[in-house]
Amino acid sequence: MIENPLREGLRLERIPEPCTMVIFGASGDLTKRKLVPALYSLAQQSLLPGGFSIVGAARTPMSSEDFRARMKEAVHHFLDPGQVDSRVLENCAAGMFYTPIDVKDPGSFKRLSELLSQMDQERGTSGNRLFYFSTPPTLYAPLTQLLGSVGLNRSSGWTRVIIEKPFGHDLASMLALNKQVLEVFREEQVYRIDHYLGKETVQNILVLRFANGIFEPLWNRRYIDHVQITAAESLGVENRGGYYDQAGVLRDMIQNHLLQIFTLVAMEPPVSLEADAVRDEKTKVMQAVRPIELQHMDQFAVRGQYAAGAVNGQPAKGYREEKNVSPDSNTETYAAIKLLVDNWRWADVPFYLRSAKRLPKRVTEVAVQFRKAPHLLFKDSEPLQPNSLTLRIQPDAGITLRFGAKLPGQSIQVRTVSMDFRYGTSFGKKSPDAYERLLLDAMLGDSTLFARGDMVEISWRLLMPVLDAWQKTADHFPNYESGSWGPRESDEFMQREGRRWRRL
Amino acid sequence: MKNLPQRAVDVSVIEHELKELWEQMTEVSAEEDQQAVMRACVANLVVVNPAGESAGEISPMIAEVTNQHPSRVILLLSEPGSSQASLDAMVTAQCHPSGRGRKQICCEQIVIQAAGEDISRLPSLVRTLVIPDLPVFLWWRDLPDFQNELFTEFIQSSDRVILDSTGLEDAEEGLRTLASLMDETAQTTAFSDLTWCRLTPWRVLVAGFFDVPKYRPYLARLDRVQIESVGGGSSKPSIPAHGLLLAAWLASRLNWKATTKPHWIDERTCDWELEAEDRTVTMHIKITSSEGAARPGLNSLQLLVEGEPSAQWVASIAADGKHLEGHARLEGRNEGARLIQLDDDDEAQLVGRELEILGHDQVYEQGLKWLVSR
Repeated sequence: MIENPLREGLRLERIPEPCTMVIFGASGDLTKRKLVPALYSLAQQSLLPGGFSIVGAARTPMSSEDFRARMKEAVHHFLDPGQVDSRVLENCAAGMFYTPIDVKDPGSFKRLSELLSQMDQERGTSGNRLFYFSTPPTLYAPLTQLLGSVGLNRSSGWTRVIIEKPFGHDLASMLALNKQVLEVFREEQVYRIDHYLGKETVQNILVLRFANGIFEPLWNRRYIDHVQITAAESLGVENRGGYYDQAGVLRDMIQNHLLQIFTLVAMEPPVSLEADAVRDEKTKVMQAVRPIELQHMDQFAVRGQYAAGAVNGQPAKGYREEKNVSPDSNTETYAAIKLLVDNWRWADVPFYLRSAKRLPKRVTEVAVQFRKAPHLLFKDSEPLQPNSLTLRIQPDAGITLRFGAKLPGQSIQVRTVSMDFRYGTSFGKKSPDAYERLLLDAMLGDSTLFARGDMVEISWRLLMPVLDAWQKTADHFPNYESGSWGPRESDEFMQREGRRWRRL
Repeated sequence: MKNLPQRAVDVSVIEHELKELWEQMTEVSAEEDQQAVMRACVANLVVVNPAGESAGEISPMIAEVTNQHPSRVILLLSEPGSSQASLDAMVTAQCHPSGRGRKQICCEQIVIQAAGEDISRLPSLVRTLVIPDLPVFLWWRDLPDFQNELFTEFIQSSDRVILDSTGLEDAEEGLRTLASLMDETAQTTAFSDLTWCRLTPWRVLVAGFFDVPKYRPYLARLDRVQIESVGGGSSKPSIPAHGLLLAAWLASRLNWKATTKPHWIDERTCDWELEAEDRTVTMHIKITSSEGAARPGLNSLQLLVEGEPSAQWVASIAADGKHLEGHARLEGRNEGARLIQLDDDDEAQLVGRELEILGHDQVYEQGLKWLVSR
């Protein structure tokens, strides 16, 4: 097919080919809260191609008209009023369709297939299809198998499938699911989504490291003492108690989000920004992580569970009192692990990853702590804090460099100061929502920001000893108060290392 | 936005005064509301106001631009008719609350008023006042005057020049001159034309039509283009800048060549015969009165294949003036509608978008080259 010569130079370079996005689980929360608002926002920015269509598919009986009405309501509800133009929304809704689907009824998949063929003809989508699994994970395998059974795993155009996390509950279930998915789709058709990677500041880790000549020479064991990656949440489990009690923070946050961030911080420079070039490097650094051995578990991992307390001055109940949570639950809501990377760049530099619920505030950041100056000339000064470079992912995304400066006066007194860069103050433009970026990337066939199967497998393989050990032994839970910075054991864990957690 | 009191200063001590201003602001801010003041700057923005125009109209626009792109603003006001030469400067700061309302983001503004002969000192003065190592954007708010020495001198020290070709008396001649100027300064300076920026939604809509693969082969069969453009008021029949730029965009992208000049049927209508590889494409341009128009600028664009199978793509301003509507017809059959929300055509918004880019706008430049090459 000839290129569209009018498309060049529009300052909207990333426009996908006309396609249809099929959302399984279209009556669910994610569709209303994130997916359709993100698609509307892309449409409003004229970033979607002509003929772009959405097909909602779920068990709920509903007409296309009802689906459009629900989605329009969702866009109004979940976007700021100033963001919604009702005529653009109407136009966008005209491209939405709905078909009831049931994994127990293969005929419903045939009807979906017919609808998609009809849309290819009428809306010019040329067989380009993006399937989004926004369903409970138990349906991923049957959906995949049914799509394959009616031939929807291939078409005259391209076919891709986005699978929401969690991709497996443990290593065995991940491997089984991966096998089932790869029996129907090729790896390059599979987009395992981790919305953290769609955040601008996560992508900025790559820019900071590889677009600036000043950082990369320091980015190694000679200058870096250790790295702390934190994802702290002030919220509890809210209405996800049922799911969370089966998962815990290690599965919910560390296995995916934090390990993905870790790979971006620790990987070697990729040869290009091609998806596989980046993902090869991420996988390589994961392969270099030293396995966590059962007999040394307490040197590598620590866990906690929140008790009642107060967050932001508001009383907060304990985890075991949350809805749909077992009153004697052994699930961790706080986890910290130490990773050692056995390669030339990072030998003996620990990476500490921690994530928890009900901490005093919501912060996600990467803090690179540099080694102390080798010789202290200024003996009369207060003990100096080592230099650090902090990449704040949320909120207030930005970068902070901490260094020593002389206090004004006759004597030499050194004080630690911070040099701040904040996205919000330097660029007035609002960053796009992570789902906007990731959906657009998937339509464009760019899988750089999606997890590849081997990477997911390695991440499960790494954490399985910890998960197994924690499952087998009960801890003295709860062991930290809501609104505190976590259990005492975690502070002791760092003290044994001769370090301490950053106060955020 | 919060404007701190202006300080009238001697131009030679502007930098010193800026430093004092920041110190004063920090103190005032601490006394008033304990909010920290953050100084932010991503560019130098040199704004040249039309001669005789005060800072009144431009100030809110500058505030809007710097809210998105914190910059050192150097606003130049001039009175060329004055018999007495003078040069005065004032420094002030514009502050915006940050997203979370905790901090104020402030950027500095230097206003220089020049009169009489001292106007010629402005370019050298500006060169000393820009923050080093940050890009310099020149926002030339007057109609571009290519013979004006001040204009050409400012261009030499700017990374990007933002001007507006709307209102050029003879747009065709003006755009030709601009094209040769761009050619001469291509190594150092890039150009933005706000008239071209206003065409972006049109180009997006039209390009979007041909994202659909089944329409794409029709690009090689288009034989008629109809452009309806709001304009008029010039002393001789002429195509307004936006109409010319749209025509140049289509022709340069689709490789059509103009071997003749537009043929004026009457004062407001012309046909322009263009040569495609295997056919002639007629560009029919109609200039309508601005009276009663939903919006200034373009009103509608039609791309037609008149042979069989026939096809038509239409883009036009909606009655509300706030949307651009598009639809396609293939062999007399409607093929679905498209809609794009139009911004308010706010000059500050347009300028803000141009501050996001540094490099050359190749497609715009190719369009201008097409106009020159005829």
